[in-house]
Amino acid sequence: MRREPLAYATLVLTLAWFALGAPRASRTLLAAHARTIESIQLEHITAAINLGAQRDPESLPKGEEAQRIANWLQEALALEPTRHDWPLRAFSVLTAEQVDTARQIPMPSTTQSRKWPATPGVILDVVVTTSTRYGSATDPVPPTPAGLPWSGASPMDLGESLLGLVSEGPELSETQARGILSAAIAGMNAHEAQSHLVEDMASRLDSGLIAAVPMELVHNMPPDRQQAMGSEALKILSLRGAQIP
Amino acid sequence: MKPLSPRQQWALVALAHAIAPLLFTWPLVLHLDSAIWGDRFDAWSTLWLIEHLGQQWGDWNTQTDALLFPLGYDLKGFGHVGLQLIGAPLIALGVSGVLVFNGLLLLAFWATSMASHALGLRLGKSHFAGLLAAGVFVYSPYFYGEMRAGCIELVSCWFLPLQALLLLRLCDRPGPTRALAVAANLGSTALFNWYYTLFTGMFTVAFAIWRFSLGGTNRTRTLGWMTAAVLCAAASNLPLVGAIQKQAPSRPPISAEQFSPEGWSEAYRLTNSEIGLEALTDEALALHEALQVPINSTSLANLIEAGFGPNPLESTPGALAIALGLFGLIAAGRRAWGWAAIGSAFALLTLGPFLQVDATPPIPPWSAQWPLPYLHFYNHIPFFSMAYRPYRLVVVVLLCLAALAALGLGRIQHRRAPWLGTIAFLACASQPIWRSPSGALASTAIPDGYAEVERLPEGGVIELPLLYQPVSTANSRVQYYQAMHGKPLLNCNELLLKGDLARFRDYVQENQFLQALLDIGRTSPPYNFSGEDLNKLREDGLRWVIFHTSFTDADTRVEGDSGSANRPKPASIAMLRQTLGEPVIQTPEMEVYEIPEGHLPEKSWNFTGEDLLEIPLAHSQLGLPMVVQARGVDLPLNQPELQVTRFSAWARGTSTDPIQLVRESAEKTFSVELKLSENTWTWIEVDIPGLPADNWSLDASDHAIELEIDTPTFYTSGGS
Repeated sequence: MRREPLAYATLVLTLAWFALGAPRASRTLLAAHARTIESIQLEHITAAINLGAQRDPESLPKGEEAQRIANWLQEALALEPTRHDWPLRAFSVLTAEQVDTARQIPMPSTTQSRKWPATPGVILDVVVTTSTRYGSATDPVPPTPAGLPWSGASPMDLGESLLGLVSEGPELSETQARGILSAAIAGMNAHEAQSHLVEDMASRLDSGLIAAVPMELVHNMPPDRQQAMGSEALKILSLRGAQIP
Repeated sequence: MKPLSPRQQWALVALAHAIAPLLFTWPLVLHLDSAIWGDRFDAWSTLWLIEHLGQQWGDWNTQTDALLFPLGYDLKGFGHVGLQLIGAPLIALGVSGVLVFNGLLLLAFWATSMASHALGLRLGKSHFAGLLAAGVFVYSPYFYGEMRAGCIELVSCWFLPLQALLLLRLCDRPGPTRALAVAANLGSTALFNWYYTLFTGMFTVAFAIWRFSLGGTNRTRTLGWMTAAVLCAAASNLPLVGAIQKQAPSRPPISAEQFSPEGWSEAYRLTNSEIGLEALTDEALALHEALQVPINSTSLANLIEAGFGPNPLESTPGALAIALGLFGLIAAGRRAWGWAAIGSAFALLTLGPFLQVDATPPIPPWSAQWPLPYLHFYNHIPFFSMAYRPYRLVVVVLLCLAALAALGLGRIQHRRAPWLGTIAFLACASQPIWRSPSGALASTAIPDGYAEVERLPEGGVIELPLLYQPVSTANSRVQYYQAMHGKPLLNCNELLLKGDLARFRDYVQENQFLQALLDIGRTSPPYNFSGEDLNKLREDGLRWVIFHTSFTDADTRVEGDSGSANRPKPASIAMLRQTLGEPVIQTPEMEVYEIPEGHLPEKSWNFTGEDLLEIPLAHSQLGLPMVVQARGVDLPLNQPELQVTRFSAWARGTSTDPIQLVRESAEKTFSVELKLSENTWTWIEVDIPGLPADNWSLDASDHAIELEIDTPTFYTSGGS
């Protein structure tokens, strides 16, 4: 039968498409859709912020720019419980490259349902995944892409804005708080000045709050990655007096 | 080797289809009497229904007082009892309800597999084509998702492939006998599932149009018998149509504007039982109902990825089914076009009224301007709006893909067909193993205290938290427990129909004490009620109030951030105890209180919670775990002028290592141990011998402990 080889080829190509092409096509579609409706998902914000911190800490916003992002995040938070889908003009602050790269990062929570929204653990996993994928704080920082709107900022400013949200902002859900804290801490872990930041964080937030999140970060990381990133989290924990086995 | 007889071949086929579900549902077979697939309320509702039907075996009255007591509930609201009725006699004979539930699930898989196998055999002319058809149709993301949600009645879908087979046979030789078989199959589907009745009917119409368009000498006669069969089936369903229409008289109109972030938010607040009863207006309920259509539609992103996930809402035919269907389409050529056309049309319908890229609002403007065919069908075709969960139409798509795959296998070289059919069947049936969707079996263990509840004198039960939607598995399990203790229950998982929800709303709103018990984990004082409110409950037959002091973390969440809904606030618990006195049953997991009789009608209770000092821990406000270390976590409380006599909190530890509640002062250090249960939310209470409300901390004895703590509270001298 002449059609038989064609049928087998169709079978193989279709399976290959679903394995390789479909996830990328779906993400491209979602990215285009997000641009159309000025909407972005929490996971992507987390990933993009973290990505920026990892790849080019100096490109993160500071001062007024950081405050603007904080304000946008606050607006987005007010839309809870639309859950992951945050209309966010901050999207335009990220470069196209940052957004595309963030969207290409596997997001476990996108396979979760709206009925079972992303768990905090999932969001933490995203942070860990993105952090480790792009290397540890000690890796050489890639060259700064030209024209980044965040250029000249420091992660401290961003971290302060995010932590300000947690400690002084609107009432947060568990998912939101964890996502923001994770983004802040993972972002700051990438920066040499993190210990200074941690002291600041510790002084601003009550007992144990900061220690709790890195503890989970450490627990979620495989042993080989703990050395790369976990040392930073351990410093945080040790500042809080935790005994790390 | 001697070839197998047809009977032996079918015996082997039946065996293969009995084993494959064990693979697909793994590791259920290891826990048949102690766990079920089911992480939403559906599983516990169905388990209750099976138990209830078995216990009431022989009593065919569909009205029951077991739920929504004292208002009563009509079992027709379930919309499907056929499968459960199969299990009911076994319950009556004393078989465990959990075993029956799991047996029915496996039976549903087996029967659906056998029917799709028969269709595949008819189309592909070999049992290997039958295996392939069953693999594609049954072992799909859709059935996996519904199984995992505990919707065993949706897994029992043998009617659809059987209908396709019977229609093919009718086309071969049109006549009254074969038409009667078509009518009987279609007519009996309604007993099992209204969705599948509609879908089978829609498929029958599509099939008839296809066959009529092919021409041929018999086509008018065939069409005539098909029409007669459908009319007969419809006539046999008329009594059920009346019942269903009574339960759900109409569906609200839908529009793109409704699917806004605000509408979405409101719909989910209602689903989460976060909206106050007073705000449950007809408009709010209509909007909620309308939004079920887009929320239950397949998104374009999901369709493109065709993944194998645990959530039925995101289910598509799946990559494997689509690949095998396309293979069949190419291999079979023109013979497959009709199946491909029907499958494509139904795939379009699964997308719902508007094309949604990622299934979250807002809908893009171009999509709102160009509604999909589903919208027109919903608005203009009688009964179509009853199929208000478009994603479920994927079963017809799966049927067509299964038919295409079987047809294709029948057209390839005979020596290759067995290999391809068997490998594809095994690949489909083992998908949960190699594609690793998340999910775990839910234990069906019943708290020990319910045996004592069963022995209590007659009287209705109110389970706390009292909610109008089952927002967590912990909460939805109480309906299952009702079948164990046998006492009528005010709580009800089945308030999905707005008529029932309105009755519940009106009843609760008439009683101030019930209002105080409503959503007890998320409301705050003041609580005001009178002796008349309590007397009214006793007159209505409600007598027992159950407060759960412990439940596992896995039980807390169905919808979003609703964990706190399971944990009554300290002020509510104080109110309960001051009003109802000592519990009549107290176990480590629950407390049962009796609503006393004969209160003076004018006696009033007013709870303001003034004597409670809730500690504003950032952790509990954010839902973050706290790391308690040897040096301690100071509690932000500095009111030395107040004397505290008790401490309480909801706590969940990652181990059973003790935590100490400590107060250090120059004179004396006071310390008391807080007992935790591993990964279990536990209500902790400890007495304190009147100490000032300052210098308190939580300490771990030797190493850091991760602890989640909710509503830590001190009670001042006047506290309960």
